[in-house]
Amino acid sequence: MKKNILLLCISALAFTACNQDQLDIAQKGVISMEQFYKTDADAQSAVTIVYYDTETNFSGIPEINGYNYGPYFALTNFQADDIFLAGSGSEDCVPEREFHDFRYANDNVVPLGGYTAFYRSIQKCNLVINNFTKEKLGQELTPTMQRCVAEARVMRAFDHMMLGIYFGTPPIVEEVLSVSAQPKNSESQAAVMQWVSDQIDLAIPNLDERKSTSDYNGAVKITKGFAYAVKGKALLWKKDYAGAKAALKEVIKSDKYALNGSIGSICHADSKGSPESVFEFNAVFVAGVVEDLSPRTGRNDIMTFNWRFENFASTPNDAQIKAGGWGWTNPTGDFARALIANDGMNSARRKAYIKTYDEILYNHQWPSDGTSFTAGITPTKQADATRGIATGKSMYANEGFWNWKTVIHADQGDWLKVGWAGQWNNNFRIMRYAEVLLMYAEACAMTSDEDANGKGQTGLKCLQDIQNRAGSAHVSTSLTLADVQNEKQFEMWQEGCRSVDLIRWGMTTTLQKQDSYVPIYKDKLAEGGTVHEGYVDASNADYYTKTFSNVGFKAGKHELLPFPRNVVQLNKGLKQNPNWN
Amino acid sequence: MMLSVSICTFAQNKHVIKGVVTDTKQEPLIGATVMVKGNSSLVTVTDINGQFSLSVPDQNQTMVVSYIGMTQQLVPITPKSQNLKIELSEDKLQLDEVVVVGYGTMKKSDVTGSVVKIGDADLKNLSTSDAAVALQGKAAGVQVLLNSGAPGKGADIRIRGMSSNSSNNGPLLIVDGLKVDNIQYLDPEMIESMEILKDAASAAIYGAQAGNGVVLITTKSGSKSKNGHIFYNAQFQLKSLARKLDVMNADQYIAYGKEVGFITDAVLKNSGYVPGTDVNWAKEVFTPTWSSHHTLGFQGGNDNGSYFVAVNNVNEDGIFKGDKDVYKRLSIQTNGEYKIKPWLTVGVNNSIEKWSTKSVSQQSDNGSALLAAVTSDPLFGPLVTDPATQLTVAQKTAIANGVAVLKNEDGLYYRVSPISGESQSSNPFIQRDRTDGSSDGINVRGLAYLNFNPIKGLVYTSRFGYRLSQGNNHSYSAPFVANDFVKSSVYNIQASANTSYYYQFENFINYNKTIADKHEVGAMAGMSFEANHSDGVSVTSEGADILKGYDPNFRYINYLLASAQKTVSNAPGDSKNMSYFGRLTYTYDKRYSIQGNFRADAYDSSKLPKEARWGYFPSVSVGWMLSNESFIKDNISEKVLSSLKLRAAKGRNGNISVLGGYPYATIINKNANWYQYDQTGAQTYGSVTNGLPNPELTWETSDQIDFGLEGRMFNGRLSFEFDYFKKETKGLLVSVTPVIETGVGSTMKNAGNVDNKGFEMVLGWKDKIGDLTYSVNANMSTLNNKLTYLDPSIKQIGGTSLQGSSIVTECKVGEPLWYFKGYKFDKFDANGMATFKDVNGDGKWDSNDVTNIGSGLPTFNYGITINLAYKGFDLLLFGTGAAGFDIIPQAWRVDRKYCNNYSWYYENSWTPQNTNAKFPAVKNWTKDAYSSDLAVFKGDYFKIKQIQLGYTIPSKITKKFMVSSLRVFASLDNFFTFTKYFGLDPETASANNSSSLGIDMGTYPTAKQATFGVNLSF
Repeated sequence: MKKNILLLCISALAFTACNQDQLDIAQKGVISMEQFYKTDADAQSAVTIVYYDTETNFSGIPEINGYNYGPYFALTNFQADDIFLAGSGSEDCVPEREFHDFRYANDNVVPLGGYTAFYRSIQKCNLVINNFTKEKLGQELTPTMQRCVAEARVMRAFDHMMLGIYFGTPPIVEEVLSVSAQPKNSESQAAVMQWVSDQIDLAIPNLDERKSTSDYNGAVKITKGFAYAVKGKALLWKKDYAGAKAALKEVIKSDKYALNGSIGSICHADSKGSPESVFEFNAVFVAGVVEDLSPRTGRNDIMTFNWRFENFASTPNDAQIKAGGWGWTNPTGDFARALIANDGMNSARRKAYIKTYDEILYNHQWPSDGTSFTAGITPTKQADATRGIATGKSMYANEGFWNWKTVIHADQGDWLKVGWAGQWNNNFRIMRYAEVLLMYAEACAMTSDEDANGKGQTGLKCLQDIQNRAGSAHVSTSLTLADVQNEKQFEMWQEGCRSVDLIRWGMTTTLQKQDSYVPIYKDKLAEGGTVHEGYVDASNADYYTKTFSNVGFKAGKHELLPFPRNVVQLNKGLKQNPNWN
Repeated sequence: MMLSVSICTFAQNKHVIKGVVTDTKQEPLIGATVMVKGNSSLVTVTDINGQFSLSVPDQNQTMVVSYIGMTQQLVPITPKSQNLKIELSEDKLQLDEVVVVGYGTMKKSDVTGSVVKIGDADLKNLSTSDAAVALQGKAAGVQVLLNSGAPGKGADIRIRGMSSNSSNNGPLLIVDGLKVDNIQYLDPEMIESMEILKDAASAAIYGAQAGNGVVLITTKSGSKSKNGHIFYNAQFQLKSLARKLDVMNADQYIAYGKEVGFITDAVLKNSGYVPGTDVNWAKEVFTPTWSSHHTLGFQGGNDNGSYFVAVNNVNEDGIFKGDKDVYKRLSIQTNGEYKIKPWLTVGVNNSIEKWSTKSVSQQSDNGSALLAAVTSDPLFGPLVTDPATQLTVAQKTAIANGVAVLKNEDGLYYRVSPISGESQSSNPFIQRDRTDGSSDGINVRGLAYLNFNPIKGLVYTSRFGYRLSQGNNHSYSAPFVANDFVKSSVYNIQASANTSYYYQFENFINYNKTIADKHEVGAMAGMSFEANHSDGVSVTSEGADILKGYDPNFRYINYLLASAQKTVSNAPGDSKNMSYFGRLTYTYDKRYSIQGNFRADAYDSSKLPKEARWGYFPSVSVGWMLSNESFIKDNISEKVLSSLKLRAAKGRNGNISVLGGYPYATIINKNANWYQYDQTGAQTYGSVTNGLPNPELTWETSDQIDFGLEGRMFNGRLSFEFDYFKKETKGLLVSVTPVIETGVGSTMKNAGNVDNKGFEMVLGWKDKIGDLTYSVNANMSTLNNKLTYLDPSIKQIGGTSLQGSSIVTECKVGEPLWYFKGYKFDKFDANGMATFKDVNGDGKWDSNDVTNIGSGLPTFNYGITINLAYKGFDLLLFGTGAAGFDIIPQAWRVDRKYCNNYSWYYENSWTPQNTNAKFPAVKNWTKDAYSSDLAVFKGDYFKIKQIQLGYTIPSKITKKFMVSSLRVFASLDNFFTFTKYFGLDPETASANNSSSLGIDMGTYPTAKQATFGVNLSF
């Protein structure tokens, strides 16, 4: 009997243990779909993700291009004729250099990274635009909701415009897509640009406007000014110069933007939210709260673009310089010489954009200089083996000029000494007023010059303002397309304009020669000489043309990037661009 | 003097009965039990000569003489019972091994699946303290993968290959019925037997958890030691580097550097190189160390109860210089069982473990202590002896700025080579000392059970198992500078504490009955409920100034400054599952057996939606004992063929571990991220959906068939077992890239199939020649692993990509899991530059011409164990090997040309004189060359894992000291490795056991060790 009772007890216990309700475990830290997309706060919350997601995806998509650089910067700059992709040598940044000199296949990571980044942004925009509709809410949108939708609409338009510029006929995606979607190409590049323009028109009534040239917050969100700039750029690509002119005029006449006084701060912390900023993604270091800006400011730009210090004999102790870098972009000699010829050696822009070897050697403080330092050449410095290029080392893809525009300036507060390599204190810049002025000048040059604001701000004046601010020796006296083209190549160096401008203007000669001359730079002192003397070693400068048969831009093919292989394989609705497979 | 003492021999009217017990060959049986029938207090056992003596009060009784594996004999006691000769014969039924299967045991002859038993003979005196390692080379179809030779690093077990693209490829581990997360804690000395359920039919009883096989471990009990047994086993191991670190020496490195161009005579002169210096980094980095293992145990029992108590202490110090690679463990196993009523037995098994470990960094292509041992150049030593000339500029600058430059214990700075030091490796000791870290914890694992036996043949088992775990991690690092890559500008301190508990409650009934002699029926049915709960807190702080002080006694979270930024995390986690299971077995006339298993599993909502939480796992297997058929019995002598069985099995399992974290649910991640709309940096939070989750996700399912033939011949001297299996795993969880335009990076889908098939063979031979007894056991298994299906939307599953090479590991249809994809070498051109094959045949060679150039998963594994015993001496030889796999050594990188490299590359590089080379000219060590099959090497190896010589001191001598057995032994472990691979250890060369299998990024090698030990029992 006893044993039967025990048996019963155990069986009863077993039965209760098996209550299936125990398997329901609530998920922590999430809410259901039904609880969201309802209120003004939800709308603001949803559009905030548009900003976050766009900024971080433009800054880096590690799963595609490793952690070394941002896909936006790579897509918009790596194909330009005015930079070398350098790094440690021919074995470094290989896919990027393949992209640079047009021998890449359609699986190259650079187009894929860019394409992906834009569509990731578009999806977040669509989550706002599709969920805040009269049908879904059962009521009219509140002003806040309308503004949030409008901001998402402009971001989505910008994404499509960029896709249109690079890929020609990207699918226009206006819905949150399901897994099985197979969106088709848009009709034409022009159709994309027209769609962008129409979307901007829809959005503009509900957008805020930047309050003034000193309104920081108005530069780090989507405003009417940015919307018009996007519309202008899209119409410029559509070759609707009159339309472009009208849109860009709105930006100028709003009086909410102005060129910064000094060009030295362009691309640096000092110009965050500056008068010149039309739109940039904000990234502010807040001690103890927001300390990791790296996912927002170009994931690893601090290393990617900083000089290749490992090839120097030591690291400058200089207040301006931050040590450590991979030196991925060097100015080409052609660019540097053209800039010097155009602007003058001592122009503010030349000094802000590039450095010569002698400047690095003698105007920066190396450890051997001790604590007191005077810039300038001295015999001691000239014979100092612990500065400059190290014994046995050389600088790859370098003609004696170094990038200074897009590397950290420690003295400008660019460098946050947090984490492994530190991080950029920088905003992620999308549209600078100088570009607006140059686009306006171009639109005027292609049609007729006009005073944009009734205060004499003609296209020519726009151009001259930029040249004067640059301290350039060359100030235009008449407005021609050639003058705009000349100016834009300098002013917008490494700001995402060059390669697509050249293609748009049909000026592809230099692109055809890309990487046909890639010399290395050496120092005679490091080679056994007695004083520093940098020199170009061109002995292997034809490496790429010699090694690869397909270097350089090919007309009829490279006007557009290929839809990345991965994209075409997944999306059967998509037709590849001409001469790509 | 008798070896054993009778428990109770006093009585009045004593009659002393004497005799000897032998087997049929007249060999004395030691330890045979002689008992008066019906009076268990009148009992004795035979001594070393098989003799016994027993006082009985009354002559009209019967004696029961028994011995394990022998038929017991009843001997009537007569007045003449003074010089009895009792001969026991082998009991065929008893000899039949008992095999532990899920929720029960079976006779080996009735087993119809593929179950391997590893008995305690195979687990004795091993030089490992890890039960997983103990499995190595012992069972066909079981791979034990070590991915590090560092102390305290566990091994991974793979049964019949790799079925999942996830890292969840390990078998279900059950110790005495308790599900455990690892068996590293379990010293082989504690183990009675290990059973491996390889085929799906055997493993199906564990359903959704058994897709990768099951390892069942039974710890020791006291039931076999009725007179009590005390044992003490000790081992002292002298470990040292097993193989040569075969990197370029100074002459080679200088010649290499000159050829590449980074070394010139001027460079050498300026660098402070002292001509003639040739640093052997192996000597600098590795040093012989002592480790020790001790086990003290107590065993005993009687008809009603038994106990086993053992204490095990492990103290391991790795061969990397210094005490930063150690593993310490103290564990206590207490097993007890008592029959409190004829129908009720209760028992508990408990293991209490305390462990602590420290480790040095390895396997990273961004620099680690072990990688630095390979890549450091031979020109400059590890220490700065003259700071004025030997510190680098970066070091001097750091010192001038008050930033730490690491020093050794004697206050000497670590030297950074001005040539190779400017890399991610810098100096092995800097890598070792840049962070101080340690982990420790306590684990309690155990279960308590009741066995009811209300009627004959029926046992109702109710058991409650539990695991309590508590673990801590600490790490601390301070700002320092070695070079541009290896440095830190901040302090970092981390601490975490994790506690978790797990319990399982299981109830099942076993019923066995033999009907009309010929029908053996067995049935089992039961339920199980499992619950896991974990809770942990971790705190990290990093910054330029975070602690109140930086002396060692301040390096705790407690002393963080109020201003220090902290990252804190905590969220308890739960998972639960329940199951019903059952088994039916039927054997007819000891000839035909059939078995069916079934399990239904349900998992909690963190894994599967409510509607789809149940899964069902059936299996069936059949056996045919050919040797019991008359057509064999009548024609073949039993002495030639003693047993022969044919079996076949088919079943289904699942792998649930791939699911977790509500993968099916579409939700809103609330306040997931933020944007700063304001110049002040104020954060505005935003919420967003979690992409495109797939509500149809389910576990991986494996269907497996198995055919086996096993038997024994020549009086049991030869045993053999052959198995063929084919396992098809479906529903691999694959991260599918949806159309890029969705803007969603990935979504999960059950969209991949893997086939594993192979042939397994076990052969054993044992015999005796005079005083020499010997046995040879060998096993081997082949494995053919292949991905057979992948969702059409993806071409491949990407795995590991290397920084210095374009080789990636991936899964692709038709290829083994995680094969290496790279270029195929064609020929060298006139300059010794490698050219590569146009694999896709489009007329040009480019990045599309990549193909399978190797795989890190062995396709052939084997092991051999030889035992010899002669008088008091015994010799054990144990070797194991793997073949059919490749390794990619990833130390040197094209973008770090100054790094040292294995000398193989230099010696086999193309030169104008040696155009028939294996590697391009030194100048043309391009990324492409390192991305091709030129950089892939055969990993095949055979290791003699153990050569052990023991001597048992004659009991004549030892019994004077009350010692029943004393054995001393010495052993050479891992002394001999046969391989063509030039890295430190082909066995541990893998960066991990899934997607980086076969990638050697600076491995911690298995040490060779000279072991001295003693086995003592009282």
